[in-house]
Amino acid sequence: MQSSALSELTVQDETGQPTRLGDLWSEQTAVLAFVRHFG
Amino acid sequence: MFCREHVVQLHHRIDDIHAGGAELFIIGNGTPNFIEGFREKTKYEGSLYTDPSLASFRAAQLKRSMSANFNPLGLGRAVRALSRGHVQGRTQGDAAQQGGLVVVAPGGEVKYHHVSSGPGDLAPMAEVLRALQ
Repeated sequence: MQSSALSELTVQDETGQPTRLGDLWSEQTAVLAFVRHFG
Repeated sequence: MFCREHVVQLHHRIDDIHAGGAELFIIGNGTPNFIEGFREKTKYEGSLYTDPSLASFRAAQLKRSMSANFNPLGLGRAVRALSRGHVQGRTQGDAAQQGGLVVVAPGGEVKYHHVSSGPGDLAPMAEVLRALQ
């Protein structure tokens, strides 16, 4: 997969504020752990 | 449930992840107001995000399959979780969505990509840490 598929997508923090995924690895390596659900 | 174990496992290795010059981001798929409860249960204090649209899960080529959940161990755990009052409503996320792990370096190079085939199929920490070297 290419990170470009993810970089422009946004995720939300607990207040619902959007964060652009590409910003997470702009300055450091990002370990993105996608979890199944908040169980 | 399994996803919580994964977070706890990752959290225990946060120092190793930081030593590798990386930062850990957990991404779930429930509504944002579930993040707080998840934090309390896992004691995880790092970055937690959610993507109820599942767009990032799709972009990461992660699986969406109900059948992946149907193994006896997974079902037993689900029943136990329910009996303890952890009712899994739709606001906690998409039950069919499986997880995974992606390591991306500055500049966008994908250093590691793990697609979970079902509950309990977690990215081996040794492989994740090796990807940071």
